[in-house]
Amino acid sequence: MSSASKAGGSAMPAPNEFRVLTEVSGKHGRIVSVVGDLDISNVDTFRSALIEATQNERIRLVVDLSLVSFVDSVGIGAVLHARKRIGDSGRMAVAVPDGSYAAVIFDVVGADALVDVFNSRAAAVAHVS
Amino acid sequence: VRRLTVAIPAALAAMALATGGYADAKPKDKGPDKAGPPAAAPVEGAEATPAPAPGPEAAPRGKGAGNGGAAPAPARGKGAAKSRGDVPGRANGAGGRSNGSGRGNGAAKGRAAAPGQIRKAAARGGSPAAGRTRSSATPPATPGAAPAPAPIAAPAAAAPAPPTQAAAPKATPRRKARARTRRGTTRARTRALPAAAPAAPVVSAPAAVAPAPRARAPRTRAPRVAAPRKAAPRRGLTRIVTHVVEVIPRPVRFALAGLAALAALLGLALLAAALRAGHLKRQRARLKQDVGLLQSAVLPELPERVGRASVTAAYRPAEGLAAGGDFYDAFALDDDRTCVILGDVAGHGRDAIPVTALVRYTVRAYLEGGLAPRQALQVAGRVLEPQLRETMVTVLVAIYDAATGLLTVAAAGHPLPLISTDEAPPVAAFSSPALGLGGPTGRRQVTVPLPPGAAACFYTDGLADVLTEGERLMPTGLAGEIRRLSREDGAAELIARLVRDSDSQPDDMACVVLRPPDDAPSPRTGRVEELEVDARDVTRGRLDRYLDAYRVSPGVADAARRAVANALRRSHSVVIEIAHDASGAHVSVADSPAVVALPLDERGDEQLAAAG
Repeated sequence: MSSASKAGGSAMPAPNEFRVLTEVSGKHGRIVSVVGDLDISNVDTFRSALIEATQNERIRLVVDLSLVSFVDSVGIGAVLHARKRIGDSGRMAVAVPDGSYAAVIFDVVGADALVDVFNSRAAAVAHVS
Repeated sequence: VRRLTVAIPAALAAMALATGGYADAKPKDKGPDKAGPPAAAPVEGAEATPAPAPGPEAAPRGKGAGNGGAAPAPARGKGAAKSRGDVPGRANGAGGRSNGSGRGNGAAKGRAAAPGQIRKAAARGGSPAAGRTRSSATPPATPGAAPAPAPIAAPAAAAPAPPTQAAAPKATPRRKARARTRRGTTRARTRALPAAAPAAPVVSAPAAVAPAPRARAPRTRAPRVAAPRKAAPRRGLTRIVTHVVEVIPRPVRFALAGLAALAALLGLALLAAALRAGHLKRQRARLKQDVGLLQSAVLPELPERVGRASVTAAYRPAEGLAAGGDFYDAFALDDDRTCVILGDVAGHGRDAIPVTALVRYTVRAYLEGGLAPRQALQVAGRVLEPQLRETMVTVLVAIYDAATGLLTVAAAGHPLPLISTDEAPPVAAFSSPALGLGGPTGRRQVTVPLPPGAAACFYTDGLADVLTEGERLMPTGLAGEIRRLSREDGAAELIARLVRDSDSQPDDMACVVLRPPDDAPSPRTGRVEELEVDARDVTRGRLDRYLDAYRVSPGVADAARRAVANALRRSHSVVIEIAHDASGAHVSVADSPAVVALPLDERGDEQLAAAG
């Protein structure tokens, strides 16, 4: 996943401006990153990106929530349902920095029981590669 | 709409006044020379040809005109004025008249108008002068002309006939004529429609007729004539307005009429929109009420006491997208034990309601069937998985036992309850996932003492997500609020306070506050946690994170890891019990998962099939 470092250094947008970005890395690699507040009002965009990514069999998916300022249960549901769709056919990891809001919610929701969660994007990318 | 109808005439009046003023000013400027033509030109566009209308010519036409009857008086007036300016004296006036009439069709109208005007004037008593003027003018001018106007004029003259105007012409032909012209012009315009202008019309009328050049004037006049007739007695403002309106050029009038029509249409459209908005608003209120009813089917009314504990619950739906999806229930299992269920269907809205009911009653049934909170969730997770599909449901289940003073809680993707006597929110590590995510849940259960005087608050994330100055309250902030609750405060008071103290509440808020009875025991034991651990929890570091979160001493933590690893060689998962007290954590390992051997998975079915 050579593109990881590139994207990791991408320009920082305004903190709460919601964006979803999908990066392609090789045949099966996808990195879906989210910026801003991820909640029920914009989760559809995010969910579509994940659904598109998980069309790919043997997907190696990284969901990067490093720049997410807020995520509600619907947003987490979208991540975990992507994990459910992938099942055993592919690999998936989520990047959630320690101490972020997303990390708190991930803990409460028990997301780490279902998907591999890493502190950094690089670690997540390394895990699925 | 009413406002509009009032406003339009007012606007018209204002415009008319403005136009009138303009007309007045112009003639004055040009005064000395050919006052007539220029003056007329601006307003009506009628070009007076000073051409001294010869008597004879006028005469024949004049007659014809006479027949024509009363037509557009005003227009002619102007024409006349102009002509007069050029040709001094009455003769001119007379000639003008005859001319106007003589001119074919247009003329006929024009002519007709003249007399009509006069008549009106006379009848009204408006301007005797005018009437007179005319009458006097006619005769001297041209005999031929006389016939037509004469009869008409006569009546006019009969009226009070004030000397002024009549005299004027006589006095100094030229100058007076001019003077008149000016006046005439001005008046004529002003007068235009309704009868308002008394003296002016008369004077101008005759004069106008004379030179009254071409078809233009007549055309313009035609409609106006009609107007005056209709208008009977006019007074004060009406009169002025009428005057003013008459002066307005036709195209402008059309434009104004168009505008008025447009305004009326707009008004109607607005009215319609308002009605529709009202209708929609009522409809929305009804629908919201319906949703409220449905929601209340999921949110039961609670008695003051459920079992021995005091339980209060409150629900506040969010405005907009997030509304709906929270649910709770509380019921007594037996004399001492009180159950609380609270949850949140992610996704919300209408679609969430059936799911909330499904989950609530399913979990309740397992609890009533005797399963512990953790086991109830574990079974529910397995059973409901196929029905939930892409829906994620977080659930919190608790049993308070008034005989022991202990509160036992398990959560599936839901925050643990906040206890008013705790300093900080409980550790979230090793939480079990929500229902509907495809993984096993019901893996952690917490038992804590709940002494009399304390309160346990079960809440949905809407409470921790309230925003104040852009900051979310978070569980930590909410824990502070719980500690500040007085003994009388229940769930409703808590939500009310949160709403009052925050700027916005983006999500549904549901909470249940449980308080032990005063005669319940205050157990000395600490917190006891039961974890069901499998190999993945170890490899994913969930166990380590849990031990870290509780700051379990390295020695105890290592012992726990070794015990778990050993047990996992013999079975798929292992249950460990961790007792936290002042001296630290104590870990013990049970050999096998305590719970639940229902043949619910596919393997079970296959085995049954194979056996069969």
